[in-house]
Amino acid sequence: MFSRIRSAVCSGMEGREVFVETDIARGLPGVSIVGMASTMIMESRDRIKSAIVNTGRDFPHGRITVNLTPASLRKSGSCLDLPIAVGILAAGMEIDSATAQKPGIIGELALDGRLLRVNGILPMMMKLKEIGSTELIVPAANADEACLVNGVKIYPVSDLAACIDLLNGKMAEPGAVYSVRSADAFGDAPCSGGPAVDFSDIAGQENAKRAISIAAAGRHGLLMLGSPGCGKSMLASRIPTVMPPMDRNEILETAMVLSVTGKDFSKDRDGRPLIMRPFRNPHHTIGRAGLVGGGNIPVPGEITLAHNGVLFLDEICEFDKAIIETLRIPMEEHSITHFRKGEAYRFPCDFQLVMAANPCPCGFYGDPDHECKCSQTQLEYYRRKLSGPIIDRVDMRISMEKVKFDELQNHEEGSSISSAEMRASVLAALDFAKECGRSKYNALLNDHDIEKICRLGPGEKRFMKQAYEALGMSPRSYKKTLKVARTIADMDKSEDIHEQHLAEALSYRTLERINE
Amino acid sequence: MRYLKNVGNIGEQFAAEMLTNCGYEIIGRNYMTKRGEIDIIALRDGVLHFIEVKTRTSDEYGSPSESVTRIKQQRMKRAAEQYIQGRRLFWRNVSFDVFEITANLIDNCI
Repeated sequence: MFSRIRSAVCSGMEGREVFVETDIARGLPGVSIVGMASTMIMESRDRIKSAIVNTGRDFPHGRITVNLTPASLRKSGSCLDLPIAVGILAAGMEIDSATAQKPGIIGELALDGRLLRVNGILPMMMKLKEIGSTELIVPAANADEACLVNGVKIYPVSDLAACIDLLNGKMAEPGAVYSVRSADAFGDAPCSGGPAVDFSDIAGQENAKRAISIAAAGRHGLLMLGSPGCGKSMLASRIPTVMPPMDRNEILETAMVLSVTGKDFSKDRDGRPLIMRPFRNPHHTIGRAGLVGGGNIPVPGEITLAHNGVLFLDEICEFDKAIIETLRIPMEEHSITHFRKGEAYRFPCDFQLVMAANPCPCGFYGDPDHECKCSQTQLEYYRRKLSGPIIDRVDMRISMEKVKFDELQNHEEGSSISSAEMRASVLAALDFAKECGRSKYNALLNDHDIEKICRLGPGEKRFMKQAYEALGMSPRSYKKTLKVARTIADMDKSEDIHEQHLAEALSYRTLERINE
Repeated sequence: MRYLKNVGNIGEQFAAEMLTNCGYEIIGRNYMTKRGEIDIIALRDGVLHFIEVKTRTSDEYGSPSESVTRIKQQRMKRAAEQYIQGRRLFWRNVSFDVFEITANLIDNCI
């Protein structure tokens, strides 16, 4: 009259192993659940009872005590519905308790016994795999995600009846086992599936595209300044298509973020799940918790949703300064940790930062066709906003001009550089860097690395001295220039940084000139 | 209503007979107070049993014992307290029980 079922819960982005122990004793009928269960789990009693009865099974008679171990862990989520139900049935002798205690069981129950999708199945599975579980019963709706974890046998079931049959050995083995696919099948072909966007959609703006390739190759933060409607947002939304393909770990981590937040995977043309580099563009009214994550039980914010992809902050001057400031530590550490009720919740956030802004409040500063109507005070105020925390976050700044009418008219297929070509140059730069024994993105180089990797010849030193003095650069912006120059040299497959690389890198520091 | 009361009475009668057969000494039936009531009070091996008899003619609304809710339990407890007070039966082990009867042919009995 006792059973023990292996399951897991998801806390933040981490799976935790949980055992569901069920005991049926004599006494007045009733189910009591102990073990730091949240309201969601307490409510599962009613779901489970209905589900078992509606599946045509007998709900065991007697005093049922369900214990969730470890008792010290606060448990939340609907994923324990199925393990508790199976535990009760096993304790009530409807299921063989010896077979039921072997696989990990996860799932939410509907009143009619159907199994519903649960959030965070990937972290839970990773944990169960880590502690040596090789078989898992999951809701059929979660099968796509579940297949990402290699080396675990997955049994997707669609309802409680199927789960009972499976555990009682009534279901035919081969048909029941979901083919275990490797994550490599989930690739991230940039242009297939999903919203098909491509850089060739954009007429002109070749300078900006070049800057974007460099930013993607070195993961440099990018700030685009330009008048309204010149294509800033359009360019930004296409950046994921030129970033290098994700490796297995990145795919898994991105999928985990989707899994935890309950978002669907995008599908390719054949309907297979596809993990793509995310593109997030939060509105400037976003709050701190929305951006970096938060809540009573912390949930990931935009920076985590943009993990391994692009975080695009449009109208950057409209954002609250304090909110931009909160990006500092996550950007340095590539993760953010929230503390709640004695627990730490860590979310990854390794993203490419892209920002856009108008050059002045009215947007037409420097536009040859429009007059800027801003007063000098307005301009100064605006630039003060742009400097400080915002400028600190980016290595590259470009100012964009709107496309000429002729260019727009003559735009046809294949006339402007496409995502595939840009991606090829990004990949070439990364390959070259790897050949030289560098695996870090150039934007992540620290001062020590810069001294070692970005060594300049005497001619280049003289050139930089001139620039340093003429532009009034700070040591920090000097180092940022070196990092960008290193990436440009990589794209040129040049082991040394030459003068033309430095000159191009300097051209991506436009704000220094605006501020003169 | 009358039908239901009959069902209950028949059940209680049946329970009393069964308990007697099992060696219980029945010392009270239908003990009623303002604060609650107890169907059967019995004594066996020095333990005082307060017994609630629940009779059901079908399982459609759940098993009989399931209908003994917390409020019903409270009422039994209060009545038992009063019974013990009134008869000075302190220092005795007490047990609260539910006697469950599911009858399928009760119509024949009535």
